[in-house]
Amino acid sequence: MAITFPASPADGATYTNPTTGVQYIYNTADGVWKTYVWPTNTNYLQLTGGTLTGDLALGTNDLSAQDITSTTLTTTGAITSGGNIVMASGNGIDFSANANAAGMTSELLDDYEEGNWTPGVESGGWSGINSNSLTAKYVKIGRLVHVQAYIEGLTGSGNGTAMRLNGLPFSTISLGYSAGSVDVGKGSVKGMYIRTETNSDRIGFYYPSESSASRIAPNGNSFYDDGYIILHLSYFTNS
Amino acid sequence: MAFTEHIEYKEEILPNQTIQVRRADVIKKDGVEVGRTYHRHVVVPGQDVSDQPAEVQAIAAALWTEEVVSAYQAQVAASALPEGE
Repeated sequence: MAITFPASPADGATYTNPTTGVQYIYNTADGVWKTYVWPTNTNYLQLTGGTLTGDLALGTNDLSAQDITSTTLTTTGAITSGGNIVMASGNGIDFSANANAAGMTSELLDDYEEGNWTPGVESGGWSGINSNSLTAKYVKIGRLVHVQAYIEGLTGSGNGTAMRLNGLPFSTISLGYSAGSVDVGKGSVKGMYIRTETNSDRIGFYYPSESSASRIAPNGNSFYDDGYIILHLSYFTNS
Repeated sequence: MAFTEHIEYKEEILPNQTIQVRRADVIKKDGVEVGRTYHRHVVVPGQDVSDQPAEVQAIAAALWTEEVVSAYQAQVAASALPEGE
């Protein structure tokens, strides 16, 4: 309900809202009526519209509101939310008050995301993966990406080139090589591992060799079209 | 009660002009969003984008000059592991 204040008030003039009991005082310098006495028979102040430009100091009672717009909201207690906490892009949870390791580069948790990705065949001859029963998930926490995939077979046929996949949900960083585990259900080599490539969305397959100093990349024709591939790895991205 | 579904794309451009694409499948019930899933993939400078969404193709066409593609390929080559290791 709109309040009808007295017209042409003098500096220091007071007014009491007959409905709410709230008392106001007029400030000539600011040209506004300011609240200065709250009703003593209420436990909280209900603000409906308008903008509070000063600080709002609360006692031991809770603050219940639909929307609060403030440059800084400071509380010495816990924050309990019945809804989501929505961060503006690039913002997050700042842990800089905690101690940090010497190599620390950021203490801001500014991203979380989960979703799906679709592995593809980069090399090895196969035309693609069997999309039936494909499960490929990712979770991104800050700049760390975790991926999982269950691939139920390949389509086409393999050849004599190294088996590699692509389709990672985020690009790897430069020199951000990361190795992960893989289980191939049929054919190829058991006990292989996988590795990301630099600045890309690609994954290579490798296994150790007893007769050579270097690891070996299995060829696409060592895989079977009806053999599953299960993989998991974690890597860093720049976004 | 009416359910609708639409797709939203979000592109992120990395410093080396790699494009990260997030597709959001959004389901609404009577105009109110009730579900959203994400799918992601990456397209790197020089990659064939003919099967990409139109907006990704437009971004690639605008960003990926010969110099950008060459710089990306040089970056990959410079950070590649030695052969056999």
